[in-house]
Amino acid sequence: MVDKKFGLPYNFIAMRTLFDVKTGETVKITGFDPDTPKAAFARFALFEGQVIKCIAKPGPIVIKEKFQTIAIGKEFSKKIQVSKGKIL
Amino acid sequence: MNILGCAGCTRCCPNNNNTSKKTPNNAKIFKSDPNLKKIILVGNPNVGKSVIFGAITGVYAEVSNYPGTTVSVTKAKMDYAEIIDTPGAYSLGNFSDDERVTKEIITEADVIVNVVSATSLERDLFLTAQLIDLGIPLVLVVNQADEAHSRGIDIDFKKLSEALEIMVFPTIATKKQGTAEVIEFLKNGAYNSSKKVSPLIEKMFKEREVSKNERIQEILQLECAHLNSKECEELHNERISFVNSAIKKSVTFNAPKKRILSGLEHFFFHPVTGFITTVFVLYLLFEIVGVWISGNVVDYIYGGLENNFCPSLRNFVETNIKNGLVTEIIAGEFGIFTMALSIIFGVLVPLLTAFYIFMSILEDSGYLPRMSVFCDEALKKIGLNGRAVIPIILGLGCTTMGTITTRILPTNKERMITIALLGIAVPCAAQQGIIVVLIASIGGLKVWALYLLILLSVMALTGTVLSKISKEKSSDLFISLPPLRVPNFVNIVKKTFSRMVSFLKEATGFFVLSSIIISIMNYFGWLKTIEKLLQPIVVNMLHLPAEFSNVFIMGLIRRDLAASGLFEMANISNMTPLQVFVSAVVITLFVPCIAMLIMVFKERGIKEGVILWISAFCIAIGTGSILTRVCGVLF
Repeated sequence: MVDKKFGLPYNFIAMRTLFDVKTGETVKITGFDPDTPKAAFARFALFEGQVIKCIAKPGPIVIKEKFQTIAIGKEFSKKIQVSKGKIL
Repeated sequence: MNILGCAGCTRCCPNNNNTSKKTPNNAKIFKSDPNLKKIILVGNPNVGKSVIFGAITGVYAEVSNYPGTTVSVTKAKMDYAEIIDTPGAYSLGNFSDDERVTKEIITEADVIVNVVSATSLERDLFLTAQLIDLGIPLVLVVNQADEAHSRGIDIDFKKLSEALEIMVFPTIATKKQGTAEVIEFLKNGAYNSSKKVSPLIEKMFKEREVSKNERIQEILQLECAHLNSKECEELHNERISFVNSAIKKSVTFNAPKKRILSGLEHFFFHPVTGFITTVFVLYLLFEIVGVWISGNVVDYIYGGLENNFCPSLRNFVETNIKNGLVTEIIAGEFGIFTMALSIIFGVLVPLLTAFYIFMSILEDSGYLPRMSVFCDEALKKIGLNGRAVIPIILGLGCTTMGTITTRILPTNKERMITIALLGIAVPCAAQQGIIVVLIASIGGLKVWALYLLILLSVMALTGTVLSKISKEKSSDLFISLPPLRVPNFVNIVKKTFSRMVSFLKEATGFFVLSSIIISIMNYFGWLKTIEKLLQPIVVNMLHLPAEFSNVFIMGLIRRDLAASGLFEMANISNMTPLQVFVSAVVITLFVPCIAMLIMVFKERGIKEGVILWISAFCIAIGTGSILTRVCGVLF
């Protein structure tokens, strides 16, 4: 799998994932793990460009988007790529 | 176009390892009445489908504040149509059994009522977009409009209707607002299918003539087409932009009103406060059921029955019916009135009412899903994820219900482990109520804590062993958390009443029948023979009185019956506190009741059911033997 933006294999690009986000931080979703169908995320209203806030990390990552609160397990959170730094 | 259909393989559906593609038995109900129109309620979990179903049909379907309350299909026949409530599904994919069931039912629909929550419109409309593509007449019910408003979400329903090109009805189903309009509309039958079909789907069927069913089947297959194929990616992007554009046109976001309950969110997730809350909930359960209800209500009713009613009845029967066997069956030690009905109405009804009210409050407040998140890390160690908390907690009400609810778990491994835990270490409400009373009488909170510690250890050990045996990978937690709510009093009363009625319907027959069988066995002296046969286990291994073998026989039928037998035995015989404690642990860990065993056969097959039964028996006896030798110093 090659990243469209950088033209490099995914493994070569160090990406920041939801797993790395700190509690209280607001970030934008920039992409997903290419080996997981996007529908798996879209069914929870998670898509590229969506702004989310990490509200707690009691093991799973608890995030809030403008409508709802979602808890995502650690392994799954590593499949969601997010922007660096604060968005809002 | 090449459409790659699949039946839920592990490659495209990462959380689905159930390759057998089992269709739940309840899908059969669709064979009935082909002349009636089928109106099917479809929607994401926890959006209020069951309340809407209740409002349309007048039939009570259980309602709670956590995803996965409805795990089977409920239907009601009206004069204008057959109304069908489905389990919640986030999409028409193959990500869980619920989605597979919903997908299958949809193929039979004449009209779909898509229930969405105004509080999670962006997520819910993704499913709406999928339903629009099917071309089936569709009606959108936007529920929980009041809650969305209090969170600063204002929806222009007219604009939403224009954007989706279908009828949209705002409702507050719990207050019955807006539901009359939905019923009127469904009766009139002026529904339409939206023309806002995804361009890709439109292109697919533009040059081909296909029947309605073929179209639905092809689209449903595409929903699970392999892994981000070009078509899937395109369809996915089209739907997301469709949903976003509909939201943009119809929703405005204002500053939300301050809600006290939102502040509790962090409290439940914090490692220290989350743990304190869990312990506090268990403490409350003990105080309410074990101390307050048992010490006041049970003592009063059961004491009255035992001291006044039973002796008078026995005298009356002995004087008027001069037949030893009949006397034994009606008013003997294990008689219908003196044991079965006294225990049901004197002990179980008050204890269960308190327990069900307590559970309903927990369910409706939205605390259970938060508990799932909090327990996720611990459960991962035994091959589960936080979602397993829901069937386990429901199993505390009824293990058979807990077993059915394991359908919400995405992998075969998780379902297997959870059912094993339910069958071995989770006591049902009726059993638990009596055990709490017994434990309160021998040592209070300290003994209750020890009892819980033993159950948790058995659960941890069982889970770890099963997790190591199964090579399958467990799924990761991914759940939408419902808002915290103040429980609705009317719903708590309705739910408790409905659960009590179904308990009485199910248990009374079993109790009466068992009472007759055991009375006959007692009359002919067969119980003494069984006592002798079981002596090596009961007396030598467990150090319990020989009569405990009667409790074993009752336990083979129902766990709560065994607990009732123990309750009677502890009242009349001179059991030491250690013996009461060991007995309580043994009957908790004892074999699953008949109802649960049948359900395990259905869900997991006969082989797994038999293994579970034998394992539970060995674990119960083994643990009891250890405790009776080790815990002597504590009593």
